[in-house]
Amino acid sequence: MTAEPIVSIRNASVVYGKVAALQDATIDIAKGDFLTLLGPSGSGKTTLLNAIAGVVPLSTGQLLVEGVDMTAVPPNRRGFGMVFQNYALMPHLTVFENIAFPLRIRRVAGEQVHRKVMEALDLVRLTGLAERRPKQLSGGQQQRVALARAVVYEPKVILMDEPLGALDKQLREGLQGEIRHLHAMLGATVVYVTHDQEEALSMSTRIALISDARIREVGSPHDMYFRPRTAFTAGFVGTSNLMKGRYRGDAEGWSTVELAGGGLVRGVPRTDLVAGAEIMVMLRPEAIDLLGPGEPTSGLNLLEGEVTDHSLQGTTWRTVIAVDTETRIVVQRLSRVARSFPLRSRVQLCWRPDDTVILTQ
Amino acid sequence: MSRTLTGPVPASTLWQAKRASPDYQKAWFSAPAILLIAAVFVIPLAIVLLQSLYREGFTLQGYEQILGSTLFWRILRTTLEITLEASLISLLLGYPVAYFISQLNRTQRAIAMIFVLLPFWTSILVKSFAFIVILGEQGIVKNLLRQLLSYELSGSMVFNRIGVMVGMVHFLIPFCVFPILNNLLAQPPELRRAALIMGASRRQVFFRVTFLLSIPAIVAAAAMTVVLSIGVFVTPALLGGRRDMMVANLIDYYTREALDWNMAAALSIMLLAVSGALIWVLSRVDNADRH
Repeated sequence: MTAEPIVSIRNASVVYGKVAALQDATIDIAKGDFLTLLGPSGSGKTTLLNAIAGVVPLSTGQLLVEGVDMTAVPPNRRGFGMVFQNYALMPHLTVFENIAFPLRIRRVAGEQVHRKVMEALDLVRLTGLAERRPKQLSGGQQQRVALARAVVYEPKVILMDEPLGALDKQLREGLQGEIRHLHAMLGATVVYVTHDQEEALSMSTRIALISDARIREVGSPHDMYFRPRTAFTAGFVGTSNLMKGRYRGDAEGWSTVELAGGGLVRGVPRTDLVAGAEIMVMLRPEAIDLLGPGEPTSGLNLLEGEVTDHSLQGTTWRTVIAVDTETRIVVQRLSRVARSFPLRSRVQLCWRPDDTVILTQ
Repeated sequence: MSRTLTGPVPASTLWQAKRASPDYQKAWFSAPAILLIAAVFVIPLAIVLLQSLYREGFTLQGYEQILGSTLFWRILRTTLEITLEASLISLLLGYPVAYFISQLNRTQRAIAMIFVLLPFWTSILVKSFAFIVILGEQGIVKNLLRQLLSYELSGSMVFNRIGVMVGMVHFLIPFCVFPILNNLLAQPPELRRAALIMGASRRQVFFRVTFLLSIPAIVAAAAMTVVLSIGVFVTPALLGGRRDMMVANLIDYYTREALDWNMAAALSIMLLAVSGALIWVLSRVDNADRH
């Protein structure tokens, strides 16, 4: 991160009675960031978002906005915007007045209100619906009104609490695109809460993985997917194959791992580990290719196994291979080009060393 | 700016009962209630209607007499005054109570509810006598003022409009608190939170969101207090003065002292018509808000 953070959270905790909903969270949010707080339900991600908004007070820790301590400042003087899962549109106001609400609070002049609201409506493609009531709109349209309301007064940070959680899959994908587009076009800073890892991967510039009230790992979507640092991240973000093993050391630019089930594989170097350390090897399903028995491979990692399940998913073939009595490996290969293997046939699994991610537990 | 109130807030439920689905088998379950209402309400009401039109044969004499009497018009005016004053004061005092209770947690709210319901535990007759003791010349209020502040409150607090208001408002407040509290508790908390995050002060959140969303409940509460206070006669009879006579007291007079049941019946029908008209006006207000 090169830019100066717009929001800094320092050692923030939220404790209810004896239960910690958030523990020792520290993270910086840079201007223009699209930070997703990703985690299972009850992990504390919404607590962190609400703490940033100011509706949940921090038990300990600090919240800085552009370098100024805002820990004790009430929500209405933080200058943020928020989009809720259930839209939270005012039922007694028209779409126009809903979007105008933050402007009216700020005593913006009438004609400017009109211009800004109309621009915001254009932005979310609801131009003709200004005089409707929220209840007369579909869920997707209501959430677009809420988005317009959150951008119309150009808040420093827009907080989004599972904004697509109440919508069906197709609408969700459409709105994901719109939110991404809004973010890019306005250069807005967004903090987005979701439990949907695909949503997190496709929308964010950065992801903070949260579980059990703690921030576990922060990184770009690419890093979280291809270079996770913990087994928890690997398991939560995308599908992963995990195998136990022992780290043997680095050589020739690769690390060597002895798998618990037998066999040596090469992977991404991990200079921070000592030889003999217990580790996990993680492979993404699409990183593995399948070959028939005895077919030539070239300098790739190799395992053998038996096909126990094989099904067409549309874009991919999903094949499950038993490499030993305990380990099942899921492989996904493009159905247009990959060849199919019958059940119970022997196959070779091969993958490149830089797809072998070594994780500590 | 026209405002409508739709949405997740359960509006006045008083005259908005949903039309039941035509499930005739289930309709039988309501038969006992219907029979009871017919026996103790619909039939007697029909008898009253007939009585108001009958004095040794069909006649409109009762109504003519009433409409031509200055006494009736004065008493009707007093009745409407007391009804509207009592309703307004009850709403003004009841709303903050409801708002306060809505902010409490579950346990605190249960305790507060008991206090709101407490007046129901005593009969209105007992309460009215109690207020005579409390508000009278040698009553608790005046004596306290005398002894603690050596202040002599001029004027009487009972046997006049003040006494009537204290008694009626005390009786009516729970009927304001409950519909409004219900509404406030049903308002999605995210709306207030959203307004707050968008920059609204607590005051603005209240006036631009909470209050506007509670208007249907205020109308429902008003309808309740109007209906309840228009027919009141114990309170004005005990706590009011000569000039605080209400239509119900006049009916009482014709029934028990003048023994002119034709007049009493005609007055009853008139009173029913007036309260019906008031309810209709209030329902218009509510509907106007809705569209």
